[in-house]
Amino acid sequence: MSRFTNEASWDRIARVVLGVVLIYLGFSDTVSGGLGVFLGILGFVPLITGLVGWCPIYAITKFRTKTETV
Amino acid sequence: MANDSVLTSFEQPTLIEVMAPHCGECRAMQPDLDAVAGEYQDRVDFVVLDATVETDQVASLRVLGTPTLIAVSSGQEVARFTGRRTRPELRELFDAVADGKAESISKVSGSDRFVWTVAGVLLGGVGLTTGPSWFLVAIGLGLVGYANIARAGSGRK
Repeated sequence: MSRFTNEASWDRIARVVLGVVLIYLGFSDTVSGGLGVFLGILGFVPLITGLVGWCPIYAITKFRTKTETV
Repeated sequence: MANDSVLTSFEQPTLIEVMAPHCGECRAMQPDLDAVAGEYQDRVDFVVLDATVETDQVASLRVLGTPTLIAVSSGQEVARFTGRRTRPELRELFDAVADGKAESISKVSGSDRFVWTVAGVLLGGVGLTTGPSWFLVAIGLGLVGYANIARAGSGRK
């Protein structure tokens, strides 16, 4: 029942930036057509995982970038 | 809101920590929490509940994750915080509990506040430069607003 977070701060910021860049590409029509829409929607995935600090793929693979101090 | 029958026994300003032995965030925060609790032992009672042992009490408090910190004043829950807090944040929290102002503490931890503010500003900027897309601007404003304005006591009865 712990509040799982498995991403370090740098990881969270990187995901947020990546997500915003993808959303920008989709919403600004820099990439047009279906690919642009796809990128715009795809951008919300790293954005949301960065906001909550938890990555489901990390959880499945038992990987984490966040280190514990004890 | 937690079951009042569990909390009425706490007459003094109290901070309840609900933790679990397997919870890494709890173990990481525990030294800071113990140190700050020691500093405030004359003003704030500090109670630790192990979610794997005191299961009935924890269930009645409706705790959904660990670590959870519950501020109690006059037998009533006044604020609840989930997730790890830094030592300065814990000191601020104990101060507020001792002064009966726990509900005024930010609901969002410092690290979350930073990430959400960055995300909100970036999304808002993208929204303004693409169209403008008011959908993105609204999400950005919502993130920045929640991260910086939401107080622990807001939304509680």
